[in-house]
Amino acid sequence: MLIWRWVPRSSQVTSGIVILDLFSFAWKMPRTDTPSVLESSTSPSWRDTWLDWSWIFASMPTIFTGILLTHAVHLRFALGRWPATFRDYPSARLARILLDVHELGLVVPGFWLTLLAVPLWFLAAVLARPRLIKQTLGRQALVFLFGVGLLCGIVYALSLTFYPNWLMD
Amino acid sequence: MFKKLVISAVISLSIATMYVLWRGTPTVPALDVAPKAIQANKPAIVSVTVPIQDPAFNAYSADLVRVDAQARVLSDIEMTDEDGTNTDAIAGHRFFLRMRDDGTKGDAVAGDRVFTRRVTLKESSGPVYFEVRASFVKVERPVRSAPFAVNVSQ
Repeated sequence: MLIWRWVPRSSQVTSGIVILDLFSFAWKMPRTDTPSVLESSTSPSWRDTWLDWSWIFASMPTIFTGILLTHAVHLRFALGRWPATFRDYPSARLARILLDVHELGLVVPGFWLTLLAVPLWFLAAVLARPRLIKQTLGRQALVFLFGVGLLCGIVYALSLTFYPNWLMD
Repeated sequence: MFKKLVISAVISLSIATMYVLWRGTPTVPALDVAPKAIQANKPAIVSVTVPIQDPAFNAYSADLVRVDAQARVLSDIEMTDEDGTNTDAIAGHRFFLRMRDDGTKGDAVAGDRVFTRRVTLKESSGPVYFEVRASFVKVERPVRSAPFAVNVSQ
Protein backbone atom coordinates (compact mmCIF):
# COMPACT_ATOMS: atom_id res chain seq x y z
CA MET A 1 0.00 0.00 0.00
CA LEU A 2 2.92 2.36 0.68
CA ILE A 3 4.29 1.69 -2.77
CA TRP A 4 0.86 2.43 -4.18
CA ARG A 5 1.02 5.94 -2.74
CA TRP A 6 4.19 6.64 -4.69
CA VAL A 7 2.82 5.53 -8.05
CA PRO A 8 1.70 8.58 -10.04
CA ARG A 9 -2.04 8.64 -10.66
CA SER A 10 -1.60 8.76 -14.44
CA SER A 11 0.58 5.62 -14.34
CA GLN A 12 -1.99 3.77 -12.27
CA VAL A 13 -4.69 4.42 -14.82
CA THR A 14 -2.57 3.63 -17.84
CA SER A 15 -1.21 0.43 -16.37
CA GLY A 16 -4.68 -0.81 -15.53
CA ILE A 17 -3.82 -1.25 -11.83
CA VAL A 18 -6.90 0.76 -11.06
CA ILE A 19 -8.90 -2.47 -11.46
CA LEU A 20 -6.97 -3.97 -8.55
CA ASP A 21 -7.64 -0.78 -6.63
CA LEU A 22 -11.37 -1.26 -7.04
CA PHE A 23 -11.30 -4.85 -5.83
CA SER A 24 -9.02 -4.20 -2.87
CA PHE A 25 -10.36 -4.26 0.65
CA ALA A 26 -11.86 -0.82 0.75
CA TRP A 27 -10.87 0.51 4.14
CA LYS A 28 -7.31 -0.74 3.79
CA MET A 29 -6.86 1.41 0.71
CA PRO A 30 -5.34 4.88 0.84
CA ARG A 31 -7.97 7.57 0.61
CA THR A 32 -7.99 8.84 -2.94
CA ASP A 33 -10.26 11.65 -1.83
CA THR A 34 -7.71 13.09 0.60
CA PRO A 35 -8.22 16.82 0.34
CA SER A 36 -5.50 19.20 -0.53
CA VAL A 37 -4.90 22.24 1.66
CA LEU A 38 -6.97 24.29 -0.74
CA GLU A 39 -9.90 21.82 -0.67
CA SER A 40 -9.97 21.56 3.10
CA SER A 41 -10.33 25.29 3.32
CA THR A 42 -13.34 25.22 1.02
CA SER A 43 -15.08 21.98 2.09
CA PRO A 44 -16.77 21.99 5.46
CA SER A 45 -15.87 19.18 7.84
CA TRP A 46 -19.42 17.82 7.92
CA ARG A 47 -18.88 16.51 4.42
CA ASP A 48 -16.20 14.23 5.90
CA THR A 49 -18.77 13.06 8.41
CA TRP A 50 -21.19 12.20 5.62
CA LEU A 51 -18.40 10.46 3.74
CA ASP A 52 -17.87 8.26 6.80
CA TRP A 53 -21.59 7.59 7.04
CA SER A 54 -21.72 6.64 3.37
CA TRP A 55 -19.03 4.03 4.13
CA ILE A 56 -20.98 2.79 7.13
CA PHE A 57 -24.22 2.44 5.15
CA ALA A 58 -22.40 0.72 2.29
CA SER A 59 -20.89 -1.67 4.85
CA MET A 60 -24.21 -2.38 6.58
CA PRO A 61 -24.76 -5.85 5.03
CA THR A 62 -21.26 -6.88 6.18
CA ILE A 63 -21.81 -5.38 9.63
CA PHE A 64 -25.22 -7.06 9.91
CA THR A 65 -23.67 -10.39 8.94
CA GLY A 66 -21.31 -10.04 11.90
CA ILE A 67 -24.16 -9.07 14.22
CA LEU A 68 -26.26 -12.03 13.03
CA LEU A 69 -23.42 -14.48 13.52
CA THR A 70 -22.62 -13.26 17.03
CA HIS A 71 -26.32 -13.36 17.96
CA ALA A 72 -26.71 -16.90 16.62
CA VAL A 73 -23.67 -18.04 18.60
CA HIS A 74 -24.92 -16.16 21.69
CA LEU A 75 -28.32 -17.91 21.47
CA ARG A 76 -26.67 -21.28 20.87
CA PHE A 77 -24.60 -20.93 24.04
CA ALA A 78 -27.46 -19.50 26.10
CA LEU A 79 -29.81 -22.35 25.16
CA GLY A 80 -27.13 -25.03 25.06
CA ARG A 81 -28.51 -26.07 21.67
CA TRP A 82 -30.01 -24.51 18.56
CA PRO A 83 -33.61 -23.29 18.96
CA ALA A 84 -36.12 -26.01 18.18
CA THR A 85 -39.38 -24.03 18.21
CA PHE A 86 -40.40 -20.47 17.42
CA ARG A 87 -40.72 -19.45 21.07
CA ASP A 88 -37.59 -21.09 22.41
CA TYR A 89 -35.69 -18.92 24.86
CA PRO A 90 -33.37 -19.56 27.80
CA SER A 91 -35.01 -19.80 31.20
CA ALA A 92 -32.21 -18.15 33.21
CA ARG A 93 -32.91 -14.48 33.94
CA LEU A 94 -29.44 -13.08 33.18
CA ALA A 95 -29.22 -15.04 29.93
CA ARG A 96 -32.58 -13.58 28.87
CA ILE A 97 -31.52 -10.02 29.73
CA LEU A 98 -28.27 -10.34 27.75
CA LEU A 99 -30.05 -11.87 24.76
CA ASP A 100 -32.75 -9.20 24.84
CA VAL A 101 -30.14 -6.43 24.91
CA HIS A 102 -28.19 -8.10 22.08
CA GLU A 103 -31.34 -8.50 19.99
CA LEU A 104 -32.93 -5.11 20.66
CA GLY A 105 -29.66 -3.17 20.70
CA LEU A 106 -27.88 -4.67 17.70
CA VAL A 107 -29.95 -7.15 15.68
CA VAL A 108 -33.10 -5.03 15.32
CA PRO A 109 -31.33 -1.75 14.36
CA GLY A 110 -28.90 -3.73 12.19
CA PHE A 111 -31.78 -5.40 10.36
CA TRP A 112 -33.60 -2.14 9.62
CA LEU A 113 -30.43 -0.25 8.70
CA THR A 114 -29.51 -3.05 6.29
CA LEU A 115 -32.97 -2.89 4.72
CA LEU A 116 -32.65 0.89 4.37
CA ALA A 117 -28.94 0.83 3.54
CA VAL A 118 -29.27 1.75 -0.14
CA PRO A 119 -31.36 4.94 0.25
CA LEU A 120 -29.35 6.01 3.30
CA TRP A 121 -26.11 5.33 1.48
CA PHE A 122 -27.17 7.45 -1.50
CA LEU A 123 -28.39 10.20 0.79
CA ALA A 124 -25.05 10.26 2.60
CA ALA A 125 -23.24 10.12 -0.75
CA VAL A 126 -25.20 13.10 -2.06
CA LEU A 127 -24.49 15.12 1.09
CA ALA A 128 -20.79 14.21 0.91
CA ARG A 129 -20.70 14.71 -2.84
CA PRO A 130 -17.81 17.15 -3.28
CA ARG A 131 -15.65 14.81 -1.19
CA LEU A 132 -16.95 11.58 -2.64
CA ILE A 133 -15.36 10.88 -5.97
CA LYS A 134 -16.71 8.34 -8.43
CA GLN A 135 -14.00 5.82 -7.63
CA THR A 136 -14.85 5.85 -3.92
CA LEU A 137 -18.50 5.32 -4.79
CA GLY A 138 -17.46 2.34 -6.91
CA ARG A 139 -15.52 0.87 -3.99
CA GLN A 140 -18.48 1.38 -1.69
CA ALA A 141 -20.68 -0.42 -4.22
CA LEU A 142 -18.26 -3.34 -4.22
CA VAL A 143 -18.22 -3.43 -0.42
CA PHE A 144 -22.02 -3.38 -0.44
CA LEU A 145 -22.26 -6.23 -2.96
CA PHE A 146 -19.64 -8.22 -1.04
CA GLY A 147 -21.70 -7.73 2.13
CA VAL A 148 -24.92 -8.84 0.45
CA GLY A 149 -23.20 -11.98 -0.84
CA LEU A 150 -21.71 -12.68 2.58
CA LEU A 151 -25.07 -12.14 4.26
CA CYS A 152 -26.81 -14.52 1.85
CA GLY A 153 -24.12 -17.15 2.46
CA ILE A 154 -24.34 -16.85 6.24
CA VAL A 155 -28.15 -16.92 6.23
CA TYR A 156 -28.01 -20.03 4.03
CA ALA A 157 -25.55 -21.68 6.43
CA LEU A 158 -27.69 -20.73 9.44
CA SER A 159 -30.83 -22.02 7.71
CA LEU A 160 -29.49 -25.52 8.36
CA THR A 161 -30.60 -24.77 11.92
CA PHE A 162 -33.95 -23.33 13.03
CA TYR A 163 -32.32 -20.00 13.88
CA PRO A 164 -33.55 -17.88 10.89
CA ASN A 165 -37.17 -19.02 11.43
CA TRP A 166 -36.81 -18.37 15.16
CA LEU A 167 -35.44 -14.87 14.55
CA MET A 168 -38.11 -13.87 12.05
CA ASP A 169 -40.95 -15.03 14.30
CA MET B 1 -15.65 5.67 10.45
CA PHE B 2 -14.97 3.01 13.09
CA LYS B 3 -15.30 5.57 15.88
CA LYS B 4 -18.77 6.55 14.61
CA LEU B 5 -19.69 2.88 14.28
CA VAL B 6 -18.58 2.06 17.84
CA ILE B 7 -20.31 5.13 19.29
CA SER B 8 -23.55 4.21 17.46
CA ALA B 9 -23.38 0.64 18.74
CA VAL B 10 -22.73 1.80 22.31
CA ILE B 11 -25.68 4.25 22.16
CA SER B 12 -27.96 1.57 20.71
CA LEU B 13 -26.93 -0.99 23.33
CA SER B 14 -27.41 1.58 26.11
CA ILE B 15 -30.94 2.38 24.93
CA ALA B 16 -31.74 -1.35 24.67
CA THR B 17 -30.36 -1.98 28.16
CA MET B 18 -32.41 0.86 29.64
CA TYR B 19 -35.54 -0.46 27.89
CA VAL B 20 -34.99 -4.03 29.11
CA LEU B 21 -34.37 -2.85 32.69
CA TRP B 22 -37.42 -0.55 32.60
CA ARG B 23 -39.62 -3.30 31.13
CA GLY B 24 -38.42 -5.80 33.72
CA THR B 25 -37.52 -9.43 33.29
CA PRO B 26 -40.19 -11.56 34.93
CA THR B 27 -39.65 -15.15 35.97
CA VAL B 28 -41.92 -18.11 36.52
CA PRO B 29 -41.64 -19.20 40.17
CA ALA B 30 -40.76 -22.74 41.23
CA LEU B 31 -43.38 -25.33 40.37
CA ASP B 32 -45.05 -27.62 42.84
CA VAL B 33 -45.41 -31.12 41.40
CA ALA B 34 -47.20 -34.04 43.05
CA PRO B 35 -46.37 -36.86 42.96
CA LYS B 36 -42.69 -36.54 42.00
CA ALA B 37 -42.45 -40.22 40.97
CA ILE B 38 -44.84 -42.59 39.21
CA GLN B 39 -44.94 -46.34 38.57
CA ALA B 40 -43.86 -47.56 35.13
CA ASN B 41 -46.62 -48.67 32.72
CA LYS B 42 -49.38 -47.62 35.12
CA PRO B 43 -51.58 -44.60 34.41
CA ALA B 44 -50.96 -41.83 36.91
CA ILE B 45 -52.23 -38.30 37.36
CA VAL B 46 -49.61 -35.68 38.12
CA SER B 47 -50.68 -32.30 39.44
CA VAL B 48 -48.61 -29.22 38.62
CA THR B 49 -49.13 -25.92 40.46
CA VAL B 50 -47.45 -22.58 39.94
CA PRO B 51 -48.19 -19.25 41.66
CA ILE B 52 -47.74 -16.28 39.29
CA GLN B 53 -48.34 -13.02 41.16
CA ASP B 54 -46.51 -10.71 38.73
CA PRO B 55 -49.02 -8.03 37.58
CA ALA B 56 -47.46 -8.10 34.09
CA PHE B 57 -48.56 -11.70 33.61
CA ASN B 58 -51.13 -12.28 30.88
CA ALA B 59 -53.80 -14.40 32.57
CA TYR B 60 -54.62 -17.66 30.80
CA SER B 61 -51.33 -17.78 28.93
CA ALA B 62 -49.46 -20.25 31.13
CA ASP B 63 -48.95 -23.55 29.34
CA LEU B 64 -47.65 -26.82 30.69
CA VAL B 65 -45.44 -28.42 28.03
CA ARG B 66 -43.52 -31.65 27.91
CA VAL B 67 -39.83 -31.31 27.04
CA ASP B 68 -36.81 -33.56 26.71
CA ALA B 69 -33.69 -33.45 28.86
CA GLN B 70 -32.35 -30.53 26.75
CA ALA B 71 -35.62 -28.59 27.26
CA ARG B 72 -36.72 -29.12 23.64
CA VAL B 73 -40.52 -29.21 23.32
CA LEU B 74 -41.77 -32.69 22.43
CA SER B 75 -44.37 -31.43 20.00
CA ASP B 76 -45.34 -34.89 18.70
CA ILE B 77 -46.46 -36.17 22.12
CA GLU B 78 -50.10 -35.44 22.93
CA MET B 79 -50.75 -34.36 26.50
CA THR B 80 -54.04 -35.22 28.15
CA ASP B 81 -55.60 -34.13 31.43
CA GLU B 82 -57.23 -36.29 34.09
CA ASP B 83 -60.24 -36.88 31.79
CA GLY B 84 -57.95 -38.31 29.11
CA THR B 85 -58.73 -35.35 26.80
CA ASN B 86 -57.14 -32.13 25.63
CA THR B 87 -59.53 -29.38 24.58
CA ASP B 88 -56.89 -26.62 24.65
CA ALA B 89 -55.64 -27.15 21.11
CA ILE B 90 -56.66 -28.68 17.81
CA ALA B 91 -55.48 -32.14 16.78
CA GLY B 92 -51.79 -32.22 15.98
CA HIS B 93 -51.02 -29.33 18.33
CA ARG B 94 -51.93 -30.94 21.63
CA PHE B 95 -48.42 -30.87 23.06
CA PHE B 96 -49.45 -28.50 25.85
CA LEU B 97 -52.12 -28.09 28.50
CA ARG B 98 -53.23 -24.64 29.59
CA MET B 99 -52.82 -23.98 33.31
CA ARG B 100 -56.11 -23.12 35.02
CA ASP B 101 -57.05 -20.53 37.63
CA ASP B 102 -60.83 -20.87 37.30
CA GLY B 103 -61.46 -23.44 40.00
CA THR B 104 -61.68 -26.33 37.51
CA LYS B 105 -59.39 -29.15 36.36
CA GLY B 106 -57.65 -29.42 39.73
CA ASP B 107 -57.43 -25.69 40.53
CA ALA B 108 -58.51 -25.15 44.14
CA VAL B 109 -59.54 -21.47 44.19
CA ALA B 110 -60.58 -19.41 41.19
CA GLY B 111 -58.79 -16.09 40.63
CA ASP B 112 -56.08 -16.51 43.29
CA ARG B 113 -53.34 -16.40 40.61
CA VAL B 114 -52.25 -19.89 41.55
CA PHE B 115 -52.42 -21.93 38.36
CA THR B 116 -52.90 -25.68 38.36
CA ARG B 117 -53.28 -28.49 35.86
CA ARG B 118 -53.37 -32.25 36.09
CA VAL B 119 -51.79 -34.40 33.43
CA THR B 120 -52.23 -38.12 32.81
CA LEU B 121 -49.02 -40.06 32.36
CA LYS B 122 -48.38 -43.67 31.41
CA GLU B 123 -44.68 -44.15 30.86
CA SER B 124 -42.48 -47.20 30.46
CA SER B 125 -39.28 -45.36 31.38
CA GLY B 126 -38.25 -42.01 32.70
CA PRO B 127 -37.69 -39.43 33.89
CA VAL B 128 -40.36 -37.32 32.20
CA TYR B 129 -39.59 -33.60 31.93
CA PHE B 130 -42.04 -30.70 31.98
CA GLU B 131 -41.91 -26.94 32.10
CA VAL B 132 -44.37 -24.06 32.25
CA ARG B 133 -44.24 -21.26 29.67
CA ALA B 134 -45.99 -18.02 30.54
CA SER B 135 -46.46 -14.75 28.64
CA PHE B 136 -45.90 -11.36 30.19
CA VAL B 137 -46.75 -7.86 29.02
CA LYS B 138 -43.98 -6.20 26.89
CA VAL B 139 -41.90 -9.41 26.90
CA GLU B 140 -41.69 -10.70 23.34
CA ARG B 141 -41.11 -14.37 24.05
CA PRO B 142 -42.73 -16.57 26.69
CA VAL B 143 -40.88 -16.98 29.94
CA ARG B 144 -39.94 -20.54 30.82
CA SER B 145 -39.85 -22.08 34.25
CA ALA B 146 -36.92 -24.21 35.25
CA PRO B 147 -37.68 -27.71 33.89
CA PHE B 148 -38.76 -30.31 36.40
CA ALA B 149 -38.64 -34.08 36.21
CA VAL B 150 -41.10 -36.77 37.24
CA ASN B 151 -39.24 -39.99 37.94
CA VAL B 152 -40.54 -43.31 36.66
CA SER B 153 -39.83 -46.26 38.93
CA GLN B 154 -39.88 -49.83 37.59
